Amino acid sequence: MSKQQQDDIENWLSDLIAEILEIPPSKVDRTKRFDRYGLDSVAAVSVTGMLGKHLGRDLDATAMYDYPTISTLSRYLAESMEAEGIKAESMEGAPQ
Amino acid sequence: MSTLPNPGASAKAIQFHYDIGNSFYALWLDSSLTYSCALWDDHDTLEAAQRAKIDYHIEKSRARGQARVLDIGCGWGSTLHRLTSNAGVRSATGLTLSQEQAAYIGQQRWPGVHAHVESWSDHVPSAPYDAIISIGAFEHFAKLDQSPKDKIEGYRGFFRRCHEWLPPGGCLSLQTMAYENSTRADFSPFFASQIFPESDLPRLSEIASASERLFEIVSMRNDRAHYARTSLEWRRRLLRRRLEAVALIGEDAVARYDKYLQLWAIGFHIGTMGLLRLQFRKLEPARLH
Ligand SMILES: C[S@@+](CC[C@H](N)C(=O)[O-])C[C@H]1O[C@@H](n2cnc3c(N)ncnc32)[C@H](O)[C@@H]1O
Repeated sequence: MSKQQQDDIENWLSDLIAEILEIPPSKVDRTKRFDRYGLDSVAAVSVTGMLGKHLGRDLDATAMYDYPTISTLSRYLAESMEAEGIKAESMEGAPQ
Repeated sequence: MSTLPNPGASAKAIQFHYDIGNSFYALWLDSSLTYSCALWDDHDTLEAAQRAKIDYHIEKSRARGQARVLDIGCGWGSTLHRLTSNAGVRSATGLTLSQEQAAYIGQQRWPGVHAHVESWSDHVPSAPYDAIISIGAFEHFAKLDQSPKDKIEGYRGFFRRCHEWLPPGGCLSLQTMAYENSTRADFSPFFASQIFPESDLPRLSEIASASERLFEIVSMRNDRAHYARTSLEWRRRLLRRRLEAVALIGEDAVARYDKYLQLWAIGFHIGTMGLLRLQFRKLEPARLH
């Protein structure tokens, strides 16, 4: 389930980076560091802003530095969203 | 004692940022309206971390129990209030270039607290001060277009004044952002034109050379991670009150603050900027010139 989620985020991010860099999505390397693509802090703010909107959750721009590639950032997000989902479920099921 | 030309940001440039509206800042700063890097250490609320930061500077300036304390760049007065209400200080004087801030402090009617709309460079005290604190204002004491020599000379004017106003062995506790792994050339045009006009950051080496033979540096902390956390916390609070913020200052201005707080968080997180807390002790006797 989290793998599916991770793939979805990866695909969405690759498309976005391809659009920003004006290259075909197939040319985007998901293990290359964002800064190697020439993305600076202003780009990090707009990428995390758009990504946050897409996922319907708030995302700190610093996440792009803690998880500096498409694949590590996607994995982190998928895992943390799954953890939050599990937390929400178990809270719903908790005795009142 | 004559006054000096203000080497840093003009009152107009300061008011551009700080006078956008007290109720806007009240939406996302903590309830004491402290607008500078907090000290998180063992604290996990913004409120507590701001108080800890203020107490840190009260301790380092040795202000506790003193008669007269000066706060240079006093914001909305959180340090002044803590000095008189908690640290046993009889009289706390604050300087700010923001009219809104001074008006707010006046409205509080805090006993023993006085705020003036005046640059440190124009300040002529009626009597010396026992301790001096300056938090998050030094970032406004130089301009990007100054030569490196003029920049240090401007800072030195500040340290000279503090030196004149303190008793032998008196302390100044200073907190400021600084260039860390970056230079003036990296100063973002977005900040220079839309957030903090007429302002430049110091380097630690410039602070050291500007204070040489006037003060000795007794202690220093670089807490840049604390500012990354403070900026992100401010932004979260701003987003939570987004609609009210938009109603007060408009969509574009809120977007500007959102972007600035995120860029700051990144800068402190990756170390392009540092956050220095420095304790200075007056050197005696000093050869001033
Ligand atoms: C970021 S605020 C910090 C306020 C407060 N110290 C705090 O921590 O909440 C910067 C303050 O510095 C003041 N300031 C800037 N330049 C100044 C100058 N030349 N003389 C006195 N105050 C100045 C501003 O008016 C503002 O109150």
